[in-house]
Amino acid sequence: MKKRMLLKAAVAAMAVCFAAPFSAQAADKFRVVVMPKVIGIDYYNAVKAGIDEAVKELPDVEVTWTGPTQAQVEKQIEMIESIIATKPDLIAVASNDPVAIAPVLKKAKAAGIKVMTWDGDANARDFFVNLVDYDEFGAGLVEAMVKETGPKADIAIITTTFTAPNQTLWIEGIKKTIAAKYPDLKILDTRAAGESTEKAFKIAQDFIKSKPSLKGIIALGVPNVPGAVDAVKQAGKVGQISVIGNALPNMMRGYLKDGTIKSTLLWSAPDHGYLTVYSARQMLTDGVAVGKSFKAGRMGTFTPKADKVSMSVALPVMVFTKDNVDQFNF
Amino acid sequence: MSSLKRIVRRTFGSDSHGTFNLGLLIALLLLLVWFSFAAPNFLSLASMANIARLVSEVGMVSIGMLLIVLLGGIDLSVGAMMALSGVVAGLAVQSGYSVTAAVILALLAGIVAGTLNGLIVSRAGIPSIIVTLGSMAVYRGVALGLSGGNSFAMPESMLWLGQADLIGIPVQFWLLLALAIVALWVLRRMTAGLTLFAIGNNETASRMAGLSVERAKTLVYTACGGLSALAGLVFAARVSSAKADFGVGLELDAITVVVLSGASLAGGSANVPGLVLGLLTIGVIRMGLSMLFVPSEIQAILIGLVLIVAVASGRLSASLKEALKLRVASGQRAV
Repeated sequence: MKKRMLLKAAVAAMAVCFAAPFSAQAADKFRVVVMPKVIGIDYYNAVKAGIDEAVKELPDVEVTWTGPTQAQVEKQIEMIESIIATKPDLIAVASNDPVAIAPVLKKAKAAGIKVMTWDGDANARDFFVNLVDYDEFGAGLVEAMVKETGPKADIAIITTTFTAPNQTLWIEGIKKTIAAKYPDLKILDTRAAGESTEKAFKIAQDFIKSKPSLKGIIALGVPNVPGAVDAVKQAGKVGQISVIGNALPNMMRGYLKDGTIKSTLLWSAPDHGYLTVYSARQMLTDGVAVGKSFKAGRMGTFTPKADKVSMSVALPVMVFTKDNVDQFNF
Repeated sequence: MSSLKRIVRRTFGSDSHGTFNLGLLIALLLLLVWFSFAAPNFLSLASMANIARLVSEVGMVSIGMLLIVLLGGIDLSVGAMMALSGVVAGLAVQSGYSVTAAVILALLAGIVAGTLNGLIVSRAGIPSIIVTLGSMAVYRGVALGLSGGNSFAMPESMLWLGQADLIGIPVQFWLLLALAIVALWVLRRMTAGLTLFAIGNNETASRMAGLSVERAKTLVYTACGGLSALAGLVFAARVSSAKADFGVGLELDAITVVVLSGASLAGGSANVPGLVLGLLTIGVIRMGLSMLFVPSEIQAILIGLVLIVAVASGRLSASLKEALKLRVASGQRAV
């Protein structure tokens, strides 16, 4: 039994040796903890690149990047509980569930830590760095579509689910833009594909077969866009049916370069990290308030808007084409 | 007084697990000391209470798992049952039932699910790993269907179960300790417990001796289902909401704790004090490493290493003991 206990102590020793270089030390800097939904995927690695860029420009901010290995809110809650005890100045989390994470975030606030969310919102936070403004994104999608199909066309929409909040809000944004600017753009049908490339493929195929007047498909949901694009390609309708959607540049690079699609919309993941760090610093220095603009380095000025929980800013919409897609890696 | 002492010693005292548990306790204390030096603010009442709060759900499920493993089985559906019970409670509250009714319904859901597991395992003769692999998917699907993917808010009057403290220690940890003591009592001092040990060590002989093997097998799964449901309620109270995708991976955490307590997955042994100590050890390691901002990937590797080391050293010392016994028995001098 002594052997067992010695071995366990040895493992603990190894753990601390690993840990020593990671423990936060600096005295005068603002200590910010940024937590993504999950660690180790390309998208968040790209966000981290933006964070690193911002940290280089802001010598008084120190960022610790930490997150769970699985995209589960329970793991995030556990991590935040232990982080609260280390007394950082601010926690910025991309939550996997807005409701479940609220109690632990309230606890952080009660402990005097500022709480921010980004990417995945929560019901208890002082500030939210949103992906893109919903109406703006909806408008961007419509504009990109009209650019290819013209203002008079029949289109169809593929969404992920009818309950995901960002989906419903984007579709609302699409409809608002159509009503205001392009009344001759008709949405023939909207169907849900979950987050599945195959399902989106089948739905797109159905659209192409059953709607001969179809000129465009708006595919929402990163896995759904390539499904819709493949359907158009296989039906031999490249150039006749346009596909517009939100997808990662890495996924769409091939299609953009060979001309199957002309553009795809998203936001810049590195910019998201960059803006989060600058917003955090603003919160810790001059403070944030609705209508009080602040400068976020090379991204320009942002003005927080009031929302149901507190206030938020959003990223600008980014359009990827074959000319700029190589600058991005996520 | 002396008979009470006797009872306590018989129930909690020395046996084949005594030395193992002592080793675990020493390891736990060493870790506490180590982390208190390495991580500032580690050795605080708040951190200790947090650890207690965070391990309670896994702990409850582990007790159920321990009973099943004692019989040589396994239950992979505990996470799904946990989510299902939370969803049932949330749905009940939303439909206008009282909190008490919702809690009872949630516990019933777990008990029914667990019993289904037990019936299929004991009657149909299909290995428990396959049965619970399937039921894991089924129960998760039912939870998703009932909730439609949405989350339910938990009523204020229920939140104390997951968020309140009793003299500084979280309520759910007291609950866990009570359940552990009950489990220990049943296993050591009641015929039911001895029956389980008998079946776990030699099922055929037990059956021939007239023990109701099928009933015992079914009941441990029922107990596990009930405990998973309880854990689900505690978790929903802790995060003030219930959703169908909670508890994914819980089964692996529970199995880890059971293995760390020294139990063989082939059945026949159970070590409740070791379970609680192992549970706290993992909790301390996770909290300590998180406070040191050790990346999650490395945390996972380290806990895996601890598990392998614990099991390997257990096997090593067991086989060394066997080898020594053989030598002595055959009259040779011990090396």
